Amino acid sequence: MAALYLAPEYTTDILISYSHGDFDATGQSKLKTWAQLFKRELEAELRQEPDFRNVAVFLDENPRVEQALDPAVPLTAQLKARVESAALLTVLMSPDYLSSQWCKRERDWWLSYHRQNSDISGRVFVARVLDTDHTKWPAQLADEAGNPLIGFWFHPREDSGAPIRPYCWDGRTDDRNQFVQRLLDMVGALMRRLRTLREQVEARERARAEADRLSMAGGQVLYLYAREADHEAWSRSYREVSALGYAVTPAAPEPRADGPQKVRELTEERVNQLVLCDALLLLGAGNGFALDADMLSIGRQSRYLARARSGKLLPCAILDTSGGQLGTVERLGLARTLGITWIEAGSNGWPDLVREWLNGSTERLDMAA
Amino acid sequence: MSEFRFSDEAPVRVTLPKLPYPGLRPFEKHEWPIFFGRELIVDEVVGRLLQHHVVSVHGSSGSGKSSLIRAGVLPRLEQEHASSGMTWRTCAMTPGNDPLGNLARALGELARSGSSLDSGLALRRLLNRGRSAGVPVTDWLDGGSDNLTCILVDQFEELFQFAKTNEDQATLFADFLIGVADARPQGLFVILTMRSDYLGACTRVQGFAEMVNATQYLLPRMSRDDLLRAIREPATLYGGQVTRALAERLMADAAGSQDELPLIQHALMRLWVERSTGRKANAPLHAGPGSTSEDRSGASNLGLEDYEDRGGLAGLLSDHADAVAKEAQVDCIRSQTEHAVVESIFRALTEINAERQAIRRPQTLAHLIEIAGAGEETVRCVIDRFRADGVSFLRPYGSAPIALEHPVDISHEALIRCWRRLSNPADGWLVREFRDGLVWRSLLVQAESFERERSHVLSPATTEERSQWMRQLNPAWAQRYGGGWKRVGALLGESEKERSRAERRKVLGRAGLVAILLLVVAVGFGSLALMEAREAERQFEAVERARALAERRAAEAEAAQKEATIARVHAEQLASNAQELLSALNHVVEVVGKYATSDSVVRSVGNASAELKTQLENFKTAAEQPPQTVSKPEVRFVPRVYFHIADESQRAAARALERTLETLSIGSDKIVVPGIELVKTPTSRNVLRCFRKEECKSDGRRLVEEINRLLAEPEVSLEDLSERYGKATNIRPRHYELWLTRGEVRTR
Repeated sequence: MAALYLAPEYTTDILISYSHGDFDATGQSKLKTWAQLFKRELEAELRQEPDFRNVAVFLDENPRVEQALDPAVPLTAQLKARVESAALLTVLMSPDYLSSQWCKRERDWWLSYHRQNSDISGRVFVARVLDTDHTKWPAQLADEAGNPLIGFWFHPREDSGAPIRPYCWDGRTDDRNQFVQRLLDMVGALMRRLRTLREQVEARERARAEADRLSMAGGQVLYLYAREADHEAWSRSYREVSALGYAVTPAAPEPRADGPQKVRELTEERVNQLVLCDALLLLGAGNGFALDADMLSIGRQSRYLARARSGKLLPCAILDTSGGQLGTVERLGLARTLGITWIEAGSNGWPDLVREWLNGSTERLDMAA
Repeated sequence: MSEFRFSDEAPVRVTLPKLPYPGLRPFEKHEWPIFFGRELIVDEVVGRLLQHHVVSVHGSSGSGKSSLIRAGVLPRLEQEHASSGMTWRTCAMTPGNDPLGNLARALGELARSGSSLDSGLALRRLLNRGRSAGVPVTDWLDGGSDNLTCILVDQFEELFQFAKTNEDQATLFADFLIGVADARPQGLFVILTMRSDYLGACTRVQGFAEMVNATQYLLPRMSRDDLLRAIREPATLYGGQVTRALAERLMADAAGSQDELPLIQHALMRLWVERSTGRKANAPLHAGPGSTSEDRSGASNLGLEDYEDRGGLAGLLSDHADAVAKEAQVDCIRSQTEHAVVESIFRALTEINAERQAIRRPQTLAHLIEIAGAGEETVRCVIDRFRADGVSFLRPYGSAPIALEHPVDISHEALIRCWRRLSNPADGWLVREFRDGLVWRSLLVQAESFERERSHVLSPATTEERSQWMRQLNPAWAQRYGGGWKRVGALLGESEKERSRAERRKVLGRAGLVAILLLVVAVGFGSLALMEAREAERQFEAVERARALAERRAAEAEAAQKEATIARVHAEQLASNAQELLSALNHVVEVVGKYATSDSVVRSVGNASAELKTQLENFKTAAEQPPQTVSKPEVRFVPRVYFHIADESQRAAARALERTLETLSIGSDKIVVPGIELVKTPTSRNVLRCFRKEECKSDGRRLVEEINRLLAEPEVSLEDLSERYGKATNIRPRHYELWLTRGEVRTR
């Protein structure tokens, strides 16, 4: 079976919260029947779209004793976990929903869990099934200004004098068109929100994957930037870093550009390669002027352009091969301001420093996730 | 000017700005270290610039054009080419009131030798060459493939305003840009920023639209990932962080808002300062000392809990503005007469345009001082609070003294839209200013009518209200709405007099009227007596003199009545006049008795004289009473009902209701409906809001009854807000608001 739409972070995409309105305790009621129809139709509409084929919609169909919650009978941990694992909460609004202690508890679980873990704005949907006094809606179903959510109207808004009932109520079929129209409105909004959530889930997945990759003992691809004038230092560093188990690119130091158009071409080439790498090393080979410029030009400008294109963190470090001459207070400060780590190549245990730098970067990635 | 000088002797120092987020104002160039999220856009602009030598970046107001160029493009040019040994020199200017002069001065600052003043003059001379000026200017700058110059012409749209007064210079300026785009001189580049709504104006100069077509770049919205980095990256430079949940929440709250970026930047700045200083929410905040790369104290970790229950992005901004206003009130306001300075300043700096949008309205400091009607020191103090670091609601930002002729402006229109005191649709400063403007214009019309016909004065109730209202204003304020301070003053002055006369007439009442009537009777009898004695010339003359004297005294009494403004003085004068009048009438009686030939006439005159004496005694007594009701007239407010409709379709019915309601009175007070306003956020119920307990019981009930009698639907109920607003001092007595929710409105 293919992965669920928002897996692995959510095992349920949409949780439908409703009250059965089953006062006779027969296990079935008109409201429950309507809720089941709603769930069926909602799933069917969502699955019309190929990327939503695996959408998971959950409706608790177990009979419960409404409005007479027995505190001695706790809800199962399994049900609680199910509620908490849902990405979106859809409320079927009715007077029974407002008075149901079950529904209140369900809502509280979902809200308190997700508030701790993420932003919940725009993740609660209301389907207006039966007419309610919105002044009695719980505050959680209101926006920042305290206004109740507009929701989606599944019953006529005009008061015809007759009791208000939702479309397709109690087996009716003559108003199915209105039902489908309202459902499509709601499905559009749900899909939009689910897609946004999936982008977020994927971004976090990417960040986790990158963190895993950076924390590996070796095998990462490092971009070693050096100027043509520092060819000798570059060759030596290239060999030493490669020997540590990293793949090093490019295969030669960068030539000097002649004119702004050439600078642009070289930048484009460099950034295109950088997006394929895991980290960036700037070679410090004795010329402080050059290193200052490289920190700004490559360590800031090119690196952040590559970050914008790839979504990667691309940690950056200076590989100082000058024997400590370059590491002035000002230069170290500049590096820190630009988020660049300083590694003194050739010092005792410098390979460990490279590893620490890469692994330490995962902290920032964890934070990003 | 360029900040970077790469050399071994002087290593590069980069200083982090004081705060990781600038707030409502745009990024400055030196803030490039905290400018994230626009890298792809910067890359696109740089690519176009190198290709065309001119890029015209346009977008909506406040979309971040200036920040993009100043903190993104210019630093990238300078830094990126440094590695290759090329030098980029950059400068920025705005056209203002001297486009060529400003451009020459900005370029002159880049001069490598000589004074910038001399350089500026030399460049100004070159710029007169228009389209062919690009190459000589480049030569003058010693431009070439290794020595490059980029000019930022910010707020290019100012040129269109300037062109109205100096078309030649404006055209030369545009021609210079066209020439650079055509000739592409090696080493010279220009970036324009312009509001998109001015694109149409670019056709005014021959060839300029073509250049814009070839070089334009419409600033796109930031992608979700870019925005996420713009929110989260700066904090990490300061050793702190913004959680992903908070970042996503800020993005969700700002989504779709035209003020997305500034609102987020403001919220982050505010939360950061609160966290790092440990200040309570809503307390006035200012940035701490600048932190360099070595100084990162005050790092903060911001999470969702810092933002929850703060009223969202707009609420944070509004509360912050309230806190600064409170601080300004405490620190700057020294007397009761200055209590409304903050309100006056912000009312002067905002307006509603033809599209009914609230927009900025820059004013010179000198003008603001005049309008505020307060001392210069007070106004400067208030403005300084609103432009301080960590606030930046007004510009120029910072603390450097502002020249009197320098414009002061709101940093971003988001403040106008979000600050409740300004934007409240019922009673915000913006609405108050708008209404006051309407009132002033109507008074000007009335003044014109009054100048044609002196009897066209204001009604007593309006006079009282307008006189009080006008005391809060001044001639500088009135200039905004057509001036005429003296004309309106004359109208109100005469209306005041007329009102005083009416009041005094009330006080003098029946006694005065009877006196005058009896005077007429007496004069009538006097005339009869004179007819009886007309054969005696001497007698006639004596009677005629007596009658003239009586008439003169009576006229004096009446004139005294009309001209009196302080009733006590008039009462004394009238008492004195009454005595003289009595003497004159006694003389008439004496003459008539002496010369009349008919007994019946003598009896009649005698009776009239006795009656007159009695009435005049009464009159004297009345006139001697202290006329307190005249000197301290009761201030009466008429009930005003402000209509708020939820939908434009309701306006016709609302108008019908307004017309009928205005024909009604409560007691002797006519009901007034000052206006009908379409609101963005209607209430959920149809209500009439009242704000004072006693008013809710009296007027409120009566108004609701009348409204429901006049409306077929909906039914309106009374909403008593007295508990919340009962003690408010800024709500006028007998102020009511009718709020209609969405749905049909029908009158009977």
